[in-house]
Amino acid sequence: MVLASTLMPLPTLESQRDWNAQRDPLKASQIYSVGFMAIHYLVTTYGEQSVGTLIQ
Amino acid sequence: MELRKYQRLSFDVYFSPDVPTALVLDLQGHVQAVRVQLTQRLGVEDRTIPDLYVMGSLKAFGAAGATSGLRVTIESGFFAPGGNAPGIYLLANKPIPELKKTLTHEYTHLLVEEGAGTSLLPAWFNEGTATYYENVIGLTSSNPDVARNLDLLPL
Repeated sequence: MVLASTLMPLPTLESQRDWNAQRDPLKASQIYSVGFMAIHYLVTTYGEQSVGTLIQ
Repeated sequence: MELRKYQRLSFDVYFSPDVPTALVLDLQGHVQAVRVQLTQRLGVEDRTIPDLYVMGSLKAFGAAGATSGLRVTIESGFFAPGGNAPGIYLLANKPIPELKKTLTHEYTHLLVEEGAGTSLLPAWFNEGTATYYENVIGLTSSNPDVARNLDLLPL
């Protein structure tokens, strides 16, 4: 299945409570993919240490 | 709930009777490997090594989730930072590479939450970091090419 024009902007994915409340497997997979891509962008653009810096 | 215990110097593994001991040992070794890799990659060290709880059935996993205040539905693992039994919980109903990915995901949550302290990080960062390293580290032992070709991963 392909979902078109349904990527969520990062500001709509800030609440951990809302994230954990997602029970639809397809939508859950979609938001995890968005999070993955955001971190992948950080790593490829600024390096892995940037993720470590944000964590600390 | 009856659980067996495999005691280590740094952390313990609790597992239900239907979980093979060989799997427990494998997962215990994976925790150590993930710790080393994440420390090297991120420059962040954990302060505590979590206990590991491995359940062989959805019923046992659900009961463990309930004791941590979580209603388990689609999860195959979770990290409980507090409560009576803090640690990483896994449902051992998947192939070992998948279990290792889940374990890496949950361990990354521990690292992020310890590092962030009281600061609130956005969920996309917390979950995105866990998902990223789940794929990078969780697969390096079974399929290195996947980790090297992350650009090709579809949505």
